[in-house]
Amino acid sequence: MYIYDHYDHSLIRERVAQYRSQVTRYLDGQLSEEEFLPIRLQNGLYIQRLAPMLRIAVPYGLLSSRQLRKLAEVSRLYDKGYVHFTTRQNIQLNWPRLEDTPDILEHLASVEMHAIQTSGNCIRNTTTDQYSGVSRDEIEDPRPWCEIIRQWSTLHPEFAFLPRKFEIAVCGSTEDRAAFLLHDIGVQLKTNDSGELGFEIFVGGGLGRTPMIGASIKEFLPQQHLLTYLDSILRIYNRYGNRQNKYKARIKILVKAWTPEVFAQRVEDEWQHLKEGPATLTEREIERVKTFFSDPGYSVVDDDAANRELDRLRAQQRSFSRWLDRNVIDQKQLGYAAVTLSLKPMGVPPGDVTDSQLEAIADLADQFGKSEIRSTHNQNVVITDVLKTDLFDLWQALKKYGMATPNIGTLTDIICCPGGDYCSLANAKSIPVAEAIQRKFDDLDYVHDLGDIELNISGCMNACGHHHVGHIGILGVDKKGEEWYQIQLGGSASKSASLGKVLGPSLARGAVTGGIESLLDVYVENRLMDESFLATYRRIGIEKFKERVYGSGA
Amino acid sequence: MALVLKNGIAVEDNWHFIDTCDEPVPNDFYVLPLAMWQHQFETHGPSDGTHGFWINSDEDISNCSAIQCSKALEAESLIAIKFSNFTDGRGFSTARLLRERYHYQGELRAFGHIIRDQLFMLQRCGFDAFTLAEQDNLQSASSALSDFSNAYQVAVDQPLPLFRRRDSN
Repeated sequence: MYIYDHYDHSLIRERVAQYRSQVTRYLDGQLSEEEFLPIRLQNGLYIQRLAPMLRIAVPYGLLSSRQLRKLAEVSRLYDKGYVHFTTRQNIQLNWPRLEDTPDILEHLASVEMHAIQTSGNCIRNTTTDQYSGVSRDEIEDPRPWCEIIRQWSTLHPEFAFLPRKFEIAVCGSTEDRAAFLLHDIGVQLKTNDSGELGFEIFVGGGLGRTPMIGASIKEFLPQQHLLTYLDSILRIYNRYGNRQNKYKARIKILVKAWTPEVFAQRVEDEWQHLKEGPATLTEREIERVKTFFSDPGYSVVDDDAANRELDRLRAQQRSFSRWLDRNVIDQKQLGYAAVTLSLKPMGVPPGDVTDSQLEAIADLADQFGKSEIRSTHNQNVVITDVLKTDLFDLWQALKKYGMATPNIGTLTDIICCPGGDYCSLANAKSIPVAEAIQRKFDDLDYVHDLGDIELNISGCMNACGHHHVGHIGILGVDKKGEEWYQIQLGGSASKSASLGKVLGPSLARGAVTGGIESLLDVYVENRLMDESFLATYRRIGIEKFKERVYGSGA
Repeated sequence: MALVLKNGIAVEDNWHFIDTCDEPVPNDFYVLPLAMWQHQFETHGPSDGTHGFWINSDEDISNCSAIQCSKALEAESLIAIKFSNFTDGRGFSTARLLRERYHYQGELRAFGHIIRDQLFMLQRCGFDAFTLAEQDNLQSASSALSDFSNAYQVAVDQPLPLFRRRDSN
């Protein structure tokens, strides 16, 4: 994990001081509401429906056990004793007092954390795969590159007031677990024919009102040019992005208007001026950052013996076997596993964790892992580097804290935004819908039989719950003051990314779970062998699903 | 007379800004809109240092043929960029281009709607003069120029990124 030196430390301390003086000026009436707004947003502070909300940055989803304990302490001292993991791997406090936020940031700074650029029209937290450094299909560890991008984007003097927010994701593996094609910039690590490391650059992906899949504008960018090339893209966007209409202000609209080819050419022209300039990365810097993410030291383990022992335990305990199937993956380091802690037990808003759970996660990461965890864009938490021989003990400990629900990647592992219960932008509630679905489908045998299904819920068009890329997506809409829910089918955030299609007219809240049940019935009746929900949908099309939900007269 | 923050010090502003072509133009220290300046440049050649020009945040200097001339900005003594709204970030890029691509050396001023909280970044992008609405607090606002003691990125005030200056590198 990256460790701050005195430069990094002084920078975030100075940021806290700057923000503290801004809050003071605002409270004294010297800074207007209008001027305070973008300033507080760039520090992650929203004023929400019920209270302010503070979004804390978790750079590329990586947290140490020390940071988890600090978050637990902060949530007790300044909030209601719980935090919320977001779909962009960050953490939110839902009930802080505005006056306390500078002190909260001071606490966070002591463990190398901050809230810089977690909101507002600027470059946001860079996200990546939760299995970085451990997955078997990894081409190259994306974390050093995420850290290099984090430093470049932090308080970038030219790009603090962009037309709209700007999100970057990095993918270092063959499978995509970062949804990089749905970001303003998607960076795919790759090697060229001569074995040199570089990147393929995609721009213009995104969800929201006009969902789009990113287009490739640079097939191979050698590694040393990453920052000058990013500077070029951002400069073009900053100068030519739409500033009149916030719904047309994301880079995807500019890319579409110009076409990806023209956009690529404009970036290329700008880049000719910056290429080989002082922002060109040095070998030393790349190596320096990489050392923070080098292997934490693995023991030589008899993987076969460990697997045999797991099989023996599987046979004895069906629930353990289920948990292994859904929540555990083998690492590339033999004998080790990465374990996903489900933050989606029934009856809890997806992604919410209490202070004592945070401390328990920290303890378990110390005891069973390498004192590090990762947050996922599916709003769960991963402990990596667990010896397979320790899995049974870890499972038992997780059960005690309610974090062993074996539902990762299943119907009940719902991605869900805070919705109308918290968010002032929402058109409809989303958490009660998620809960109703979890209650309806509480039979684990059935849920496991359905296999991989991504069900995503957003309370409005802003799509924080990624409904466009759910195999089943649910979008809350407002109709004359009433909450209705539009169902979409066939979205996917993988490398074969696709956007969901609207099934038909919106359903009332009470009809949503019944509608989902009909969709699942059609799937079960039509699937071939081990075919997934998405594959069945792609094969048979939307009609059969539509008929079942709305009746043949629809 | 209005005060302007120059190199961190509040001083009286002796420049006169012209908004439209029907306004009377004084003999010296006047600042023309970009289009008028371009016309003057095309008819009379480079400035003698007695006038400058100002650019609106939505004006694209890449389309201004006069700015592209290598000698055009050499003797220029004031370029001002107007922010119609403080959230309009285009002026930050315009400033860097003027400094880094067109090698402009004279005073580069930010005016219009800017707030003290932006001073550090504006300065990094090459601005060295600022007109702020809070005229009474100008000197105290100037402390924002040193909100941070360092920065990660390359910019006009620091042409080397932090990674080329870190102790360990």
